[in-house]
Amino acid sequence: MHEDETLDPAVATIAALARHPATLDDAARARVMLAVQTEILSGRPIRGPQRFGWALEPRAIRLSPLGAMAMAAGLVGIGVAVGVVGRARTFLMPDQRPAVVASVIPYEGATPAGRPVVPAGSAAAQVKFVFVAPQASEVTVVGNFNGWNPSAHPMQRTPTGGTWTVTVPLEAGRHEYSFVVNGSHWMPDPSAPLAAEDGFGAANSVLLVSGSTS
Amino acid sequence: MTGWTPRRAHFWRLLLVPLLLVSPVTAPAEAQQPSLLSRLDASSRYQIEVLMDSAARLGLPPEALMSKTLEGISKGAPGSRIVQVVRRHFASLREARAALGVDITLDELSAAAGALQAGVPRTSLAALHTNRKGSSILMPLVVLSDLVSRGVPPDDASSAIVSLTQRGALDSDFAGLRRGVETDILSGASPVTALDRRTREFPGRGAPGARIPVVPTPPRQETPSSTQ
Repeated sequence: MHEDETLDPAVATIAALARHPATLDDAARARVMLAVQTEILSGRPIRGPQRFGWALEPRAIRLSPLGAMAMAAGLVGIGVAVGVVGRARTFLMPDQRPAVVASVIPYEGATPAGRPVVPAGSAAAQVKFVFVAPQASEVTVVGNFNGWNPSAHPMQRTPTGGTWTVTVPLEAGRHEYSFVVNGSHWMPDPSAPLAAEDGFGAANSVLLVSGSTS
Repeated sequence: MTGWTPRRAHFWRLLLVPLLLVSPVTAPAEAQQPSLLSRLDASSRYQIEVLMDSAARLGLPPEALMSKTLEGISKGAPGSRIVQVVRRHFASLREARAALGVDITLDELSAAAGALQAGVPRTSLAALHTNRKGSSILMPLVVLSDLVSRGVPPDDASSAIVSLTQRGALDSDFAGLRRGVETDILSGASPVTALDRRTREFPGRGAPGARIPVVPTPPRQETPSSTQ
């Protein structure tokens, strides 16, 4: 049975017309073939007009000596700027000596106040500063490890009351630090060694972070 | 498809010329400092920069001077005072370098400079370095500065620490000494007496396993820092 016999007469008429090949004039055929051959020779996929196609085309750039020097100076300037940024960052962390830190050399202050605590067996120098100040409204730890910036490491009050803590990653080496209570009172760590007089009338404490203890 | 038209050349000029003009002056060192540094007046800032430059030329760590500067700013010291303290710190670093040479770490140098500022004689630093040849002098220096800060005269503290290094004391011995002296001072002993007693108790490292006796720390006393 022929399949057209099952179709709607209107659909059958359309199908019969579609089976006949479309006839093109010779000019149209020539235009299509020329376009296809051009794309094949250029090696590019057949695409429509591109807005930024000019940016992808290779071209020879001609520069005057002055222009070339200006461009070179610009590249050097960018390098200097990047270098300056990197150098300036060292001021924030004065001790940049790379080290694998295993523990803090303990100064074993048995008092709970102000004692930096290093988790036992910790391979990283995540130093936990503890300070007891029940009536304080704000406590921060400042030192050469944070550029003496009081807002860098605010301490958190423990749920039980007057103990304030903060954990700070520290590199191996000698660190001077102090606690700032209520934004204005500078206090050394009562259980740590004291540094030499600081010249500003407020004593600092010293913390040694080392990869090994003796 | 398209060429290097004057319009596009103008586009690239507009893009590159500002970049060339801006890049050499982008981000001077001061702009990268913490906002603390902006609080320092221009004159003091200039003097600090000169000192830092001098330190770098002498092989001393300029970042130590920058840290001291930031410390002073953060503590609210006036610019003139900060410059004075930084200049003194610079001199101490230079003197410590002269006493200890170049075979020390940055931390040892900073600690030695602090000890000098505390009044420790330069000859003591050299003796310390000689006695601990091959070992770090960081811990002895830290304990030395701590003893002076607690009231022990610099000469007495220096003599005791140098003596201990001659007798082979280890870092743990110095830590024990510091704890013991602090305990005795809190118990009412004078700093000199406490140091003398604790030093005499050290038997020397000739005896295997010998250590400075560790006195149990008494219950913590109320200090101003814990009663805020």
